[in-house]
Amino acid sequence: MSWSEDSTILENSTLQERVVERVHSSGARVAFCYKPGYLRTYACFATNFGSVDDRFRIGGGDEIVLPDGVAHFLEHKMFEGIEEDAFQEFSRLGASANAFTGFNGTSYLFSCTDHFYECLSHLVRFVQSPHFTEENVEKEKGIIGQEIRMYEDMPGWRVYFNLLEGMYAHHPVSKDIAGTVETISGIDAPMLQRCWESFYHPSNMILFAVGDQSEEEFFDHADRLLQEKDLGPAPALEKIATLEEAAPAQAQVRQEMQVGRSKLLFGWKDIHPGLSGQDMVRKELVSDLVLECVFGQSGALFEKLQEANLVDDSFGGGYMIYGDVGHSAIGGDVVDPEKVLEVIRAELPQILSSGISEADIDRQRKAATGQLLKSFNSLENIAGSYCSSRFMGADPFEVVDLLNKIQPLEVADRLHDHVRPENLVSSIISPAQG
Amino acid sequence: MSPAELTHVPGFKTREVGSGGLLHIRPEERRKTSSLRLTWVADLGPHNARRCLVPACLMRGTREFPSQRLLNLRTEELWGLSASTSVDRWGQRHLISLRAEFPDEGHLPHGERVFEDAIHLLDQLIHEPNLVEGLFPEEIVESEILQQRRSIEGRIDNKSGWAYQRCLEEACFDEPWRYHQQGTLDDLKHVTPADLTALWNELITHQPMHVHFSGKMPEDRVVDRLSTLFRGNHATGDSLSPRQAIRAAKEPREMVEHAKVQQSNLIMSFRTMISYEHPLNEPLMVANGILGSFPHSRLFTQVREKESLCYSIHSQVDSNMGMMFISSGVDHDTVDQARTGIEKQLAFVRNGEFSEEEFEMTLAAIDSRLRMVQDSPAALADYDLRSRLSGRNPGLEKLRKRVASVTRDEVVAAMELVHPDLTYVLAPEESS
Repeated sequence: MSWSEDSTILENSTLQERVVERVHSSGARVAFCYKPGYLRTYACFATNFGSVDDRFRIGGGDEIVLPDGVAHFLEHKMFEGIEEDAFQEFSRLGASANAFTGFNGTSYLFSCTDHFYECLSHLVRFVQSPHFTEENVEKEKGIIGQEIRMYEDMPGWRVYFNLLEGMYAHHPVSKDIAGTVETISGIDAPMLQRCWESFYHPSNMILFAVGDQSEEEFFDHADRLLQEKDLGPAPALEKIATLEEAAPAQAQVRQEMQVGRSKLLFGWKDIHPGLSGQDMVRKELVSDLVLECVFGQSGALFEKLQEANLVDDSFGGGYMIYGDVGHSAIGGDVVDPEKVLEVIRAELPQILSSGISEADIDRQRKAATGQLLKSFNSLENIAGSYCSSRFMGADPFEVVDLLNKIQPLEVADRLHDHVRPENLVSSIISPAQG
Repeated sequence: MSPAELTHVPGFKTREVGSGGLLHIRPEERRKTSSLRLTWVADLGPHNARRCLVPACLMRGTREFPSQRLLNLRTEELWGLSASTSVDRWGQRHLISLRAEFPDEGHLPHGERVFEDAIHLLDQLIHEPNLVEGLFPEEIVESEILQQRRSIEGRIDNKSGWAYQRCLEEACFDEPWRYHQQGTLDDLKHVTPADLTALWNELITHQPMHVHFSGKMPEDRVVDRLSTLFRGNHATGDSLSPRQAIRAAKEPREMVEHAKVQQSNLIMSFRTMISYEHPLNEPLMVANGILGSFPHSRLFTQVREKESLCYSIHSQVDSNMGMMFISSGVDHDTVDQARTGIEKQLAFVRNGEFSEEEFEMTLAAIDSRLRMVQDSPAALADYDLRSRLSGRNPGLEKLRKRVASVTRDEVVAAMELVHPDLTYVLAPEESS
């Protein structure tokens, strides 16, 4: 057995969920959630390397600066094998596999109804066996180039990244996860190899499975798998943060596209270096509650906008934290974005002075509990929430207890701290003229 | 191959309620929420847009909670009960659905209850909307017409969806499935509150109605409570038009339209002459799997991975229409190259050149996909409803067995029936 620590049990009585977690001698965090009766088992092998990790150094060496889109490019290339791509074996096993790159992490995943352990072995082996050649890297640029073009034609995607561009002057969170056709042109095989060696060491990774499997067998199998390849000691990885000012870079970003309706997103950014663990979860939770009370569809502001036919059911938003930064994004499909912003600017002083009532907080608490219960039906959500919580140093279940501990004063502070009319950033996609 | 034994996941137990209603109930012990889907089935046609207004108006308030805000406050109070409506199409049918999901009471603190209140609210949404002098309020109707108009205008925002619909409209210009579920702007002209109120009445009284429920509540209590949702419904066999026959391809045609886009959307349509009842329906499913619906499929491994021509590419079959579609987003300069690549793969499957491994992988992948449906009450309800509407047995087991017994020769025979119809390209304006 090669577990460097005893198992930790994370559980919650409201959710009635339990995750068993162990740290492997290779450095990997391995965790399992038992879901009786599910036919599908879902597993992921995730690294804490996402699009925002564009600057780092190893062992006190020189700073390495990556072009935009490297984490995503690496994700694509990991599927390349010497004989065949990794999808083929999953297909032989009747499993469906995929991967995604986010701001903070990259996750390789599969779900299957049979051959779980063969699939798990294949997952770990292919993610630990890179095969980058100049030829296959060049070839991938054509495919990713088309993926980027596809995003460029998606107004919902553009309006969000334009909002981030308005908010952030320097921070890499504002860069498109896939990069641009120009930035990916500079990616080569040695660069991918270096990133893989730096970020795909087991000490930077989580192996997680959820489904109707035996816990003991899973950990035994994971143990054997993670011992197959000796990747040496963990590299002394130091991620370098990009400093960002508190003030937004631009108040508004506009773009014309061929759309039937305009799209509007607005919000505010937060800079919070050093925030982690439970504090981060709490900030996200309280921020979401504030936004729901102020901009949600049960609020007076939405009713006013709807009565004036300025917004529809697509209107809504939320709060997202990505390491040392976080932001809100609220909006939807609208006909007259400037008019919507005008109403919001006019209403904000009143909203800020009257604050949020305890009754609103209690009701949102109930609604959020119901939403959490719903999200824990989904194997994907359980895996996603476990990995993202762990990457930020938090417990995936503490959100339920924190929800019950939120105090009215904390909500009021958060409202005034975040919703600052003078710092509002907006992004508008409007129909192209002519 | 033979399908793996099915782990026992209970299916829907169906009972008739009244003359036109079917109530489908299954116990679901694995999840933390109950889910309900109510669907009225109608014919697609030139009045889809105004029918879409009915669920939209229902969600604007009930007699008890006469505004959307009051309704939303109530759903939050009911532990975030999610209630939403959707409008879909399946073959020649228009599906108007109300979906709801709410926590199972075993997860709520202090012995709180939610089931009765949730069903009461859904009942009120359907049967007791907020009417003024017996009609939907004028300002609500006007507002929803405006929103519906914006939704129709907004369809162009999804470029691949737009291209698919344009291809369908042109290829099937006189067949009922050409109608988009959201309808047309023309249909929204001159709609009055009286029209809409009559349409609501017609929907709840005359259109066939299905309710699917999965949850932990005792069956007799669920039947007792949910049966009331059907009150007043007396749909008959005449409520829907007879099934439309599918047709063969004529001469292949081509069409290019332009928009302000970065990438061309290529949609190739084919006639299959294979309906759900056709003995080659399952072989066609397998052929489609080998060709383009999985990561191991030919379109993905050859046209995308080997030739690097695109990021998105897939094929799909619809046996209601007797059609197959291949969709891809490609650089405009390489559209012809992509077409040649796609045609090469079609011929490859038609000639039976696929390996034994590709064939087996496809059977396994389809079987796995069918089993996975059983983990999701929403997917199970959708599968059950669509099977019934297509006149096929809703039992997943039977379909799995039929797929498992498909032979290579049958795959080739199915592909021999696939003939090109319209090839449609939505291209960047600069290329015009």
